[in-house]
Amino acid sequence: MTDLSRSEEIRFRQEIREFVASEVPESIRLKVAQGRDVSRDETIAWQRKLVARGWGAVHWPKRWGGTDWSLQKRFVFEEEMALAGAPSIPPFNTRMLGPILLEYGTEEQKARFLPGALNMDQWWCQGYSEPSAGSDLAALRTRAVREGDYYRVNGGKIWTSYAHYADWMFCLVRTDPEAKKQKGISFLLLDMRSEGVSVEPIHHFYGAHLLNQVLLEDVKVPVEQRIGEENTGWTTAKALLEHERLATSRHAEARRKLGRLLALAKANQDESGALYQRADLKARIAEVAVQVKALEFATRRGLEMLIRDGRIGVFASSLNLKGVAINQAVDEAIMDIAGIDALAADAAYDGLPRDLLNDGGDARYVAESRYYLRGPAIAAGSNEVQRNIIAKHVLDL
Amino acid sequence: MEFMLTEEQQLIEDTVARLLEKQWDPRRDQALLSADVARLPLWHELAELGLLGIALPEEHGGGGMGPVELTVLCRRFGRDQLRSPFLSSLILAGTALTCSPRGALRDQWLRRLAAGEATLTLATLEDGAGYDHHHTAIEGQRCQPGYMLNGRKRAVMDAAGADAFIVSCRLDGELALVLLAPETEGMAVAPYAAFDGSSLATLTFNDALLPEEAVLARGAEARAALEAALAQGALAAAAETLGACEGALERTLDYLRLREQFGTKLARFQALQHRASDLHADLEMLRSLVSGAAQSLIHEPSHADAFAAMALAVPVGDRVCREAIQMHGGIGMTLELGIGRYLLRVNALSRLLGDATYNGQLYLERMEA
Repeated sequence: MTDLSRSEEIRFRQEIREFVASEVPESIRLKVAQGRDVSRDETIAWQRKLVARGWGAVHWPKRWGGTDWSLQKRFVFEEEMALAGAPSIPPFNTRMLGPILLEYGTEEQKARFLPGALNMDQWWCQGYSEPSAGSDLAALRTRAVREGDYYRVNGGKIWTSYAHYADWMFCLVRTDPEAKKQKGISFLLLDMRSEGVSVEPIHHFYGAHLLNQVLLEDVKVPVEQRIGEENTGWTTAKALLEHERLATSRHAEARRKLGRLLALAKANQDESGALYQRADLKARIAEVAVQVKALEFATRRGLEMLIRDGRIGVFASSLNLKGVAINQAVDEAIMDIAGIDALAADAAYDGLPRDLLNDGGDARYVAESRYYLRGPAIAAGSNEVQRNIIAKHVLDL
Repeated sequence: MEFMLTEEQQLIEDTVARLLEKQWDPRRDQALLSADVARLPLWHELAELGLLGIALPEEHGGGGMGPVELTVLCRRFGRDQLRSPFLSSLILAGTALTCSPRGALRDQWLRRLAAGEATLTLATLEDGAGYDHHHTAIEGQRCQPGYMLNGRKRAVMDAAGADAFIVSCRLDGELALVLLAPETEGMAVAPYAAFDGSSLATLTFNDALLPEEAVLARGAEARAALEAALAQGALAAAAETLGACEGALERTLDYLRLREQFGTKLARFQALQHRASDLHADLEMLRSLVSGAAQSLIHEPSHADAFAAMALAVPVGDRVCREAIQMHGGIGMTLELGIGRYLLRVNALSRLLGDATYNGQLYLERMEA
């Protein structure tokens, strides 16, 4: 079942590391190490470098600029990219919209939208959640009424990541209010520059701006921008690759952060010397390291299921639940080890020795990175929803 | 890397499960101490099926398999709550022997272990060393015709029934593993029972005579053999803990589906569902780590991942087995139901092979090295 030999895998990983080392500018490398957001322009520039290298959407078919690689090779690619500290590209263009278009789009729709999604000529966002439809997404109420060649859309979306960067939005709208919840929903592609679209920022409690509210007032969406048949949008939206569900474990991210934790513990001193010598902190680090190792093996086990059965099923819920919890545990340990340095929320802080700043010993922004990770415990199926899924499917309770 | 069992490994699992179903009832046999189990017909059946010596070398009557197969067995023993000298004799002493240099003494004992004719145990833990089985201070004094030993070894498993002891000590300034018979002059064995039904003993050496030919391994060879035995021991304890958790959770879920209170099944309460789901997710992590660590040990017999597995098994084992009692309510406290037996075992294993902090430190140090 392994198509990459051990030596091929080592060479491939080396190739990725060298690519990241030579192509990611120092300023961005530092942001990634610090767990900070990379800007819109920096993200697009990086995606275009990946496209030039043929790595822009490795899970797409070659015909559309993908690679035709095996699952295993894609896994190695994504793992090594994250370990090497490459900026992560938001999933909306190539990982969410791409697979949906490839599966349900017409040839015209593919030709019109895939190349721009790949090259990030259009920045896409996802319009799913609504104020009264969060974990219970199928309760969404944004209404689309067919009027000849277009839909008139009224309502609004919330928690829309990067809507303030976006040129386009793929969204779920209600086209049949009489049908049962999931049955009356359609999948539309909406130009954010259309008349009647407005975007209001929602700031995270620690200040970052990632999320938005999108208001839709008499927005006209041409019918040819509907993906799939009318009222089949729920099925379309679920076409998310099983492969994506593996990524929710965030194991490579956890491993990279464990490295940061070790570097910080060794670099930071108290009166008795390096914090790393303190038995309580060392025990804490060991506990986190053990959990990260378990997460790594669990993710590989998930990959094995995917290769063998084509799906990982409800195991994804355990991966999601533990992946988030373990990443949070690493972040919390980082914050505790950083101590007073963790207070620094901007680059002006000069309390650290210069030589540590670029060497993983940099404690600035650790709080921001930690608080960001409260989000994934809520988004895309909150922890509580994952527990319901496990109870129902695995435990038969 | 393979997390799924092969057909052959699945067959081993099914075979041992069937055998235990026929011959082992933890409720009936709960008065037995672990050392006594080697005298039951069950032990001889395990030997005849080739399961005792499954990982011992083929040339000495073993099965020539490795950590994955041992993990399969220990997990099943945990699930069915079999207390036996398997961990002390086949895992700890068996690995130490297998990894010692070839010689008549080693080869003869390997054959006897595989045939189920004898049990051995490994005596490593010393006074003041905490859980550190690697710490060896007892030093043999040169004499005619070999060495004299003084000191104590603690919490030696299944010593009461053991046909011989593999003891770690220092000889001529370097680590050594030696094999001593119970009747060795100057050595006293003081057995006692542990809270989980394990049979333990303190070994006291008072000018105990150690002949030159009792030495199994010295220096780097002894170090490698001891390291491999302790890593395999940590992995086996983690696998047994995993099995105990699986047995405890399965029985608890059955009970939640059956028991009614306030006019509804306990399984309908979301508070209980969420707790059970969390335990399930914890076990998925432990399952992954135990399987992954077993794979790591195939290539490197003392791989650090074994200690990671035990470091995770300790808190997960304690939590799952405690919750199993709690979710049963009053009946969970009873000896008769026996759901508490899982907790006794996982807690005893974390004393015998070290707690989460101890194993976590070992992992961290070795991971970084």
